[in-house]
Amino acid sequence: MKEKKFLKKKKREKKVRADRSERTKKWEAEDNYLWARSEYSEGNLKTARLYAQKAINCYQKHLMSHHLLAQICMDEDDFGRAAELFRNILKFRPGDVESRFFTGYCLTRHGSYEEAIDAFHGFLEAIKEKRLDKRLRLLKKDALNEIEKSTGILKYRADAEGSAPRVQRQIQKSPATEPHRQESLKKEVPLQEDHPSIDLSPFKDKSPLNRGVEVKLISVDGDFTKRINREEYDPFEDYNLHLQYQRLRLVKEFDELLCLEHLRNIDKYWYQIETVSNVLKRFRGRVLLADEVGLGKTIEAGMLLKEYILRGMIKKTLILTPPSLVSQWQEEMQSKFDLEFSTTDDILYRETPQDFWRRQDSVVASINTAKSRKNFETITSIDYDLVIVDEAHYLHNKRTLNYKLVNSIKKKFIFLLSATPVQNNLIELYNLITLLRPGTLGTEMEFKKEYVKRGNLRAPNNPEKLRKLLRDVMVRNTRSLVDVRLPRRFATTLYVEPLPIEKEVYRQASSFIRDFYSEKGEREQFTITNLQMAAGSSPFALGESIRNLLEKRTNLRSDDRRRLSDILSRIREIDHDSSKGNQLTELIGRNEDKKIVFIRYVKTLEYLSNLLRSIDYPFAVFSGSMTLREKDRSISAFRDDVPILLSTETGGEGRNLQFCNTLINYDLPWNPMRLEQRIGRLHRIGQKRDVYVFNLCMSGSIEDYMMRILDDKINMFELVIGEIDTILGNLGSDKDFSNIVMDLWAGSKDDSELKANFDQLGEEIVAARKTYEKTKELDEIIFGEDYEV
Amino acid sequence: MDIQGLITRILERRGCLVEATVDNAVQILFPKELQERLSVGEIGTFTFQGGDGNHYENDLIDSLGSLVSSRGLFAAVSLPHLKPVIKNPEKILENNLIVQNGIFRFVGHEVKQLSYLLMNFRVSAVSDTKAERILTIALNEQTDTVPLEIEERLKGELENASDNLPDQRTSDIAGSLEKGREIAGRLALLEYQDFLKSLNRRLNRDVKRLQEYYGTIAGEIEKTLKKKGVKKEDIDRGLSRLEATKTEYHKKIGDARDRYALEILIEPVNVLRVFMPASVLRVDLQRRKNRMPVEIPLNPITNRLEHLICTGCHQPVLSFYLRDDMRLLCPSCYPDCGLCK
Repeated sequence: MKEKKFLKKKKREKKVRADRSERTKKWEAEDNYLWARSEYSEGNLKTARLYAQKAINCYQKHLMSHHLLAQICMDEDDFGRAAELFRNILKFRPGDVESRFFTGYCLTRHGSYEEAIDAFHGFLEAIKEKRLDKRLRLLKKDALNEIEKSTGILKYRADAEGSAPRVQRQIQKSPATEPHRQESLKKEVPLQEDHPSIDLSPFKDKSPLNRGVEVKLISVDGDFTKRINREEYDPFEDYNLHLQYQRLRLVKEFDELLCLEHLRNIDKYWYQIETVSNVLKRFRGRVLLADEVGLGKTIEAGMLLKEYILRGMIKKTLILTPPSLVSQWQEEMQSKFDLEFSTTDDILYRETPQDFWRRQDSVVASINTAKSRKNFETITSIDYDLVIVDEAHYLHNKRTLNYKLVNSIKKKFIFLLSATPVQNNLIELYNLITLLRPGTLGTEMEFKKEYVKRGNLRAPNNPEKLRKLLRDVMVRNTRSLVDVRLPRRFATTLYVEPLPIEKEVYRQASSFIRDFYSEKGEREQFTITNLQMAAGSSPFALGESIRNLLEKRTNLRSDDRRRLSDILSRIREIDHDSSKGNQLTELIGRNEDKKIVFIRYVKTLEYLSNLLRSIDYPFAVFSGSMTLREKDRSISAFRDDVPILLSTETGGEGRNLQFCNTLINYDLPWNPMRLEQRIGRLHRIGQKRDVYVFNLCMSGSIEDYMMRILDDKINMFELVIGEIDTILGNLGSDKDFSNIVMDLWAGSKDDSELKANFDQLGEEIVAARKTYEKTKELDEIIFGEDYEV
Repeated sequence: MDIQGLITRILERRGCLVEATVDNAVQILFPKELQERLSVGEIGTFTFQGGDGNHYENDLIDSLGSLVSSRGLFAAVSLPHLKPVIKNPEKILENNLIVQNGIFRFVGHEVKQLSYLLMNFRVSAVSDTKAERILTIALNEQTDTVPLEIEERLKGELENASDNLPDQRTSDIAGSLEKGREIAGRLALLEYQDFLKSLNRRLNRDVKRLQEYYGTIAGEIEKTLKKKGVKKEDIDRGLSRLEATKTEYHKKIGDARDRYALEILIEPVNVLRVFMPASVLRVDLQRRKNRMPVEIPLNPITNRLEHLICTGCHQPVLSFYLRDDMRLLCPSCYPDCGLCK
């Protein structure tokens, strides 16, 4: 009895040991399989093969490795081995009908026709009782074709040898084949007369597959031969140094990014670098960059662009954006990547648009301009090396011109940028992916059947499979990956009551601007906007702008000149007293914390400098026109000695200002993205304390109306940086926000109309925010954190 | 030479004072001329952070390019220390030289001063990714023969090179450079074979996917058209959709081909002429009644016969065919000759 118990125990232990060992082997196999998969997706077939084989050696029953290895063998045209692997799979899983089919498939390619026919018959037999889905129906059709082909070959061989074909007999014996043959013959019956003849042969033509990659050998000489064809020789050491230097300059693999050293004023984050490497190596320059708002898609695209340029891989680039973002892209490319881009403001575009598109190698254009009848044909006839589409969700509909344009452009690389690729349903995602890599998700009908839940276009069916496919074409980094935990920020807008004379000057200026606008219209948009913005900054800035206008525009009507001169003389009466100035001194005197004051106009900066000096308040100045050394000195003075920094907007990006946590917008840019950029100088990674933002704005001014929408209605200062951009993009206007605001301001006849117009705009923006929130939610559900680098 | 050594040497050659500091950096005192040329101050520091990392992106390294690019393009050295020895030349010929449709006769041998060109080419393969390397081709200027696998061993010998050059006439370099370029092209194709294979694989994958995708769309259209009772206008619409699908399909195939097309750019970097003594075997090649004398050097570095060049494809060969007009052709070119074509 005891012995029996002992033996039982031993047996149990043995089983546990065996289980454990099997589990370990399984894990090892799993590891190797994952390596193999990753190598395979990188295109390293040899290494992938080694790992897959290793996985099988670890654990014979690891069928996924068998499958993968068979796939690799097929890719490498080693069909004999592939067939053997499929047979192994069948040993463990006899019901795997696909492996049965592929055994036959590989055997035909290997030239073992008789065995192939047997395998195909096995396949047909196995599926006889099954309900056939689309894939199996296709496989069945293929199997019948293959049987027929192989039989033909065998018959031909047998005839040639003068012996009776063995296989033919076998086919006659097979009960399964005959009906299938008849079925396949049925399909070949010619169309009835009233049906048109349809030629589908181009899609079955195998010749594009056999042609292989086109190779061009190109000699580059420059003036080398001329330079060396001389009597005297260079010293041998110089020869050596030259050669070694050239070796040093050889373009390295993508593991080492060249662009990193060439970026300016940018905080680079690890996930951006990782994304860039991945796009270069894995995605091979065709990708949907779908990072959440504010994580720097533009930076990633810029880094990729710079990388390709530094490697000499691209020359002609086209960036397509919504109209309101053209200048922003142009400026960012210049300031951060040192890349000069032309826009359609270029004089060449106005003169000869066709030449503009052909001659300019780097263009940022609004997608609306690009798709216009005037440009569509020219743009689609040019070979671009790289096309970048910002806010790519505007390409979600296949029937739109936006989509047709991007689809028709000839391009080697393409980046689609969108934080919200799915706005309404999954078909939009399908369209974007099809733009990048047609066929990845099949046809629209197939996609709907396979990946979309019936009756609900927003819900994915088969999500795991979809994820697998999408991972090859899209990256979406999320905040939780990046782990950006910024402190809170608090914004207060102070509506300052102007002094009577300030009010009068502002009223006069606005009245002149309205009249000027109604007369000149959009032709003078820049002048008009500038005057109105200056008026919002300070009377002194306005005075300077008027002086410039009077000086440079000699063709102004005498009446206009007179009105402007009147405003100027009223400004002179102000005598360096201003309501906003007083508010500022009150604000900075509240505590001794460091504060940065942003100003747009130099004259306002001068005024504030004088003001602070007059009350003996220490401060430093930082402006775009200063030299690098002066800027450094200002920043260190602000950090170490003085409590206030008066700063213009330009030139400070990328500088470390996180030791300060209070920001005062003395004047307000009309473009909310600029406002965000100002805040972003303090509210960024590295900031430890809560950030306080104060906006100074004169009551009754255009900024007053603007802030009542942005701050009061949509709480712009609570949004994540970058979100306002997307929300305003949803307004559906070609104009950027500052122009919309200016149009309303200048186009309203009286105060009540002005109020009504701004109320209407407010409602539209609130609706746009709601749309955005919905979209964001949907994208979060669909993508989650599954597409991070 | 490591990167620090290289930069130090380049700067010193241009009159800079370079001093290594303890923290993996060098301090440089620039002469006035270089200060202007490189837009730098009188004193500069260059740090080598973490070994041989990404220094080649540095501005200073960029500007060094302007210093090295004008010098060291064409140099010459001699290797007088090499002493060519030859034992039993007939046996060497017998073992190595094969005239497929003729015979050869050993006439004699002598030691001669030969000059070789060591030509360095930058070969860049550009497709959807880019790879670069430097290929070195050696060419015997007197015989136009190509000593194979000599480059690496020659580098070793160059350590003992002398500036004392023999008084010897040399030929115009342009022709040799052209030949070198052609050989570099052929070698590049071999070097980038894996790259090409991977491109082909990816191209085929994309083409297959396009075929499936557009083929299925066309199939769907076909199915609709074949339905009973389809109206004429629906047929017309379907047919024009089918045409559009075909056009787009061809365009996309073209795009894919363009995307993966491989350009191999061959650019000369610099050239070194190397003089060295070598045993030269004089041989008579004979085809029918025609004879042609050739000189085949026994390379003093590899101690192997140098290859002759196929007139058709410029491939280096020691086993070849002779045409009746005594042109020498490799087995794959024979009987067509590139010159005749």
